[in-house]
Amino acid sequence: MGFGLWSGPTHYLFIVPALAIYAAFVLYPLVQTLGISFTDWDGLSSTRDGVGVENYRKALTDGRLRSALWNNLTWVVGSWLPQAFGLGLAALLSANWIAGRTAFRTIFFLPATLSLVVVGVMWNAIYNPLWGGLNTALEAVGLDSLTRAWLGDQTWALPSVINAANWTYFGFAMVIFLAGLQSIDQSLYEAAALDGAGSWRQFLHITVPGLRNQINLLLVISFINTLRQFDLVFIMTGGGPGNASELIGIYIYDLIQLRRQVGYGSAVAVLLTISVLITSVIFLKVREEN
Amino acid sequence: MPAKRTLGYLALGATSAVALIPTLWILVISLRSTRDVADDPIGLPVPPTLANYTEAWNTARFGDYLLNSFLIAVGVVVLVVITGLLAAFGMTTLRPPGSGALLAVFLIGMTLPIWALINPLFRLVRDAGLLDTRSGVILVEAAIGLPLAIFLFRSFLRDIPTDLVEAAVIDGATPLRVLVHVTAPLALPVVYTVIVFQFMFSWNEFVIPLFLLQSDEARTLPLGLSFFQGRYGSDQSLVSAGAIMASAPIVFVYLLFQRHFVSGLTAGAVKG
Repeated sequence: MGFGLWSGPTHYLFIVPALAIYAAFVLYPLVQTLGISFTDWDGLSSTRDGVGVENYRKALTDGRLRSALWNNLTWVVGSWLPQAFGLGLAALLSANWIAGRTAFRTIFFLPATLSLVVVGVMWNAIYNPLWGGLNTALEAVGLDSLTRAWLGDQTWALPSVINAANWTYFGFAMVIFLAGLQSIDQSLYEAAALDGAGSWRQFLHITVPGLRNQINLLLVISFINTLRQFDLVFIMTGGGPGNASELIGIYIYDLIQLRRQVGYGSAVAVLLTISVLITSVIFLKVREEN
Repeated sequence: MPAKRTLGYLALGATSAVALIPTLWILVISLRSTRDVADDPIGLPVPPTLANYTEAWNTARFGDYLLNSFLIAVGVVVLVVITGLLAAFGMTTLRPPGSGALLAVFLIGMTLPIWALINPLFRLVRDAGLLDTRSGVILVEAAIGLPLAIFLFRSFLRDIPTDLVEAAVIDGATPLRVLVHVTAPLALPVVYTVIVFQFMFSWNEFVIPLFLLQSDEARTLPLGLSFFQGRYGSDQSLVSAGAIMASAPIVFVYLLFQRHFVSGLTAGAVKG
């Protein structure tokens, strides 16, 4: 393009303020983290020794990192549940006989507006073993045998936290799907109805393929966001009991803040960053092909 | 088919209950004394008491937290909207040599986990004397929010017809005048989206304040609430009152500006 009347270096002045902030508080720290990841720095000493790729080699055989990664991946799979639920809700809400669509949408999206710290405090109360809402409700309907210390239980701690996260997520997924549904050609449904296809077949053969892009988007968002999860686990279990609900973010926090293994913690952070970057690139490629 | 409709409304009603009950329960608890709650966790607040709110307000600095959260979020929004719009205009409309590469460098920032930055950021902010200050948090959150804002602005500016800009140029307008009088007014919808997204990001952000704000009076609402839970965790009524105070402002704004809110938060989805 180019506007003949305008030219010259003054155009860079438009970019400079944003670039200055971004370079100082994102690019520079990023480069530093990369540098530190090749050292044994403890975060305090004035000296640090280069250790080459030792931290990265250590990460490959670190059982605690592997267990955190496994928990992250479990969370990824767990986040498919509210996505499927959100898809169903969106399809239901766009049926033409529904009244009160806006009210339902407002209610379902409400949890997504809350800070995760608030959500954590809330669900801590629900899971409380002594007087929590969940155990109280189970006892009220005679299911005493199912009550337990949800967040203190080796098996149930992680699923319980994932469930709290899912509570904030289904309305969000629903809104994304609702936007996608608006772009599906209504005449497809009319034609299918004429051919005698019921709502379930219409859903499977028109709605789901028509929402391919939204499904793709949500799968990637949830994957990336799940890899970066921290707040909820920090508030609800701290990664425990033991390391039962530990995530990569919690592990990095532990390494750089509590254990003073800043060199190794930085290497784990770099590996996390690379995983997220690779996923994003694959996502963009897939989207371009569609 | 009435049966289908009944089932449909049943499903929507049950989902509404799932979405609302946790929040309503916490609200009810916050209006009862902790002893009442321990005796009967799902009882009603008769008569309701505001004692938990006054105590939470007085023992914790919820007034300070609220002010800090608000000023930081506003600071981030102002900084991101102004510098982001300038930069997007520069890289999309003016396009000096190297704009494509610069844009790519900005967009990489959308995917970076905070853990790749936080330790050096802490030292950077400390050495600049900005630890425990709102300015330190504003600068860091703005830097982290800028990539998404630039991405959204650019997607919009790209689609503005070039003849509009060219006409203004022929009339002798400077680039800054074109931005202020032609581009920015057209971009208002996306500006709203960016405002909502950045405000919510900052309002709910936890890790950055956790590292950069250490004294009690400097904390934001989520950070203050997390420390409050740590200290008074056994007093659920008090903690619930804190949680309600921390979320009431945002829920209120959400109910007022629902449409902008939803588009702002879902636009944030591409942040990934």
